[in-house]
Amino acid sequence: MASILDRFVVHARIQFLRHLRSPVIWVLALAAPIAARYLLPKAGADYSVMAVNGAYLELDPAVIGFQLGVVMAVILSPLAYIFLRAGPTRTQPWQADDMTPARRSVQMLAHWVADTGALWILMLVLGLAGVLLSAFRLPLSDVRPFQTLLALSLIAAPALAVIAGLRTVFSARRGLRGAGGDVVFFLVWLAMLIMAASYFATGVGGSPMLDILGIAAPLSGATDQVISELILIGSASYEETVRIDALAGVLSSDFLLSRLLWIGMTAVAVMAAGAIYAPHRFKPLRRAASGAGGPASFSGSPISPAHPIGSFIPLLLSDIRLLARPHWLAIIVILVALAGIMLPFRGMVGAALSLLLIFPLTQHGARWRGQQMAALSAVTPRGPEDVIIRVVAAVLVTALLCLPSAMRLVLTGEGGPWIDIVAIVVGLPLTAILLGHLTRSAVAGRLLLLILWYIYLNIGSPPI
Amino acid sequence: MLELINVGQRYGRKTVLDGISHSFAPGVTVITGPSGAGKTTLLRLCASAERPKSGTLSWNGKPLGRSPRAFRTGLGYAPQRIDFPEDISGLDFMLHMAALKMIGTGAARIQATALLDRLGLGRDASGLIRTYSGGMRRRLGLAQAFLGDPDILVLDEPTAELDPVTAEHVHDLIFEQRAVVLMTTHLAESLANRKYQTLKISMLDSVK
Repeated sequence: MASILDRFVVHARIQFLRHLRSPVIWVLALAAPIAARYLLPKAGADYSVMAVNGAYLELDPAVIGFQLGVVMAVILSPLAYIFLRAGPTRTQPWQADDMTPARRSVQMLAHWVADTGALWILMLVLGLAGVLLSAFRLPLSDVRPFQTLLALSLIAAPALAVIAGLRTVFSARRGLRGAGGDVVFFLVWLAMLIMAASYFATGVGGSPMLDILGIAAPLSGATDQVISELILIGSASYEETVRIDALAGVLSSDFLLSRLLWIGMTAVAVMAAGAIYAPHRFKPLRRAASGAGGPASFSGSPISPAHPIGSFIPLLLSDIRLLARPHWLAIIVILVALAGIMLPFRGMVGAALSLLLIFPLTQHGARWRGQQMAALSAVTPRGPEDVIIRVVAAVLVTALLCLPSAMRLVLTGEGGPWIDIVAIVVGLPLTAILLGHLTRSAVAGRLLLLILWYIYLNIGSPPI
Repeated sequence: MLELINVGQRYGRKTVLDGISHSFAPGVTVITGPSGAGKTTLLRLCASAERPKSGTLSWNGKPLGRSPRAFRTGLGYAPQRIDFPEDISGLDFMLHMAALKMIGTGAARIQATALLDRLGLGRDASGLIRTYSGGMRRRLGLAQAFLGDPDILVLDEPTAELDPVTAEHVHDLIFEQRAVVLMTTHLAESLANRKYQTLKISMLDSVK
């Protein structure tokens, strides 16, 4: 019998190699330096990546790492989750795995370590790009690679480990393996942002443990100012700069201890998830619902002819029909759309409709994108343009659903919500279908659109 | 007629097929050869799912170009495995495949239902694919290939995972087609009473 350590190493190695052997991680690694270029803008840029109390951070080697780390922990962490849930390790051979006597806790811990390792590779690539860019943003004599990488790692590495932990924990329970897990992740991510904000509110003396993403505590520790405003990725440009001691912030003993504790607690949560692991359930066909039981019956009747008619209309109709799956959701969506005749669109019908549409649209965008399924569609005469037709079908359906609200706007003469309708009719289907098509999964579209939906709900106008 | 002239395929440094020339006439041709000889690769080339590294394929005298829509309009292809969309019914899947083949909605429904009946899936047509067994998925993957009265059928192991009785029904359907049919099978002995051609490919990339 292999020892627990041996099994851990085997599971971790396989999971890690699956990441490395996929082109996805290398594409992301290539994208990281490009992202770093925009995350560290030149002086005088017309946008800000990180602004504190209405001022840019004055760049030094540690601040460069600090800024990249904060962006990675806050803004790129949903992308890290998407990479893990929709990337090369999204499928696991559970049909075989669930039947083995392997300890789930060991297996899940190994998966978490491998997933975290893959995310840390991407973080290091971003950090190295930051080091390279620091040679252009700072006097050459000021370049300190170690300080840049240290500040980045102490902020982003524990946050990414927590994100990988959430993915692993969600894979343990049936209700969290699909769309349910994505919604819960979105809520947890929001909660983590709120907790970071509440750390600012408590001021110095609050526990860094509150700050799971690890952004507020080091920032508070890096400056004597009271942080009243932190803006990440904004369109405003500022005249002033503020100097912070980033290393003091990330090297404070309370912060370091809290990071270690969060990594440790994530490891414990992952192992605990192994203990409550629910095997996948194969749902056999309920023959009672479809007729008498017994073996399949084969008819010998001839097959009537059906020749291609050369039109894209059948495909458009088929896409529209499949968008209405499941039927119960379609009925709710239609009822909400009809309520638009009486209720205001902005903040009510528009918000409800867009939230409800996120799920079927993203699902349909990815439905035909399994690797072998995509290869099969590709050799059909309409295969090459099926994504365009799918987008058209989704836009048509969404437009039809917005029609009652549009009629109300015409009758009442309201002007403001038209932009909301255009964003929902065009932006929502386009984002959902194209992201599903490109990533071959509904996860990316679902999570991104949930975040945009939340912003829409809060700012009262469409973010896209 | 599908014609292969000096067709070769290579993945990286590994040559899988080399110098294959053959003409496929209407009727069934069974492609045989040991595992790894390139049977599936040959079928993928014939289904225009891949482009050959060397040589040409032509359909009724016209070479298959980059986007051979005319050829694909008459093509029925059943690969060895399909990762089906699990959350729709077998009939929904058939209707969508018919739409991809540009078949009108009414005719598609009639033919899809008949094909599902013929392959023993009629009772379960409205069941979600996630509830289908391995054999049912195999038959569903096969059924979609027959949609639209194809002129050429490319079937990769159509009877794998099927019991002998079901395999016999599948063979009945295949052998009543007037199309050019290319198929691989590990159960060539079950075709003893049927009339078909054989194309044998060996590990050393040559055709006998």
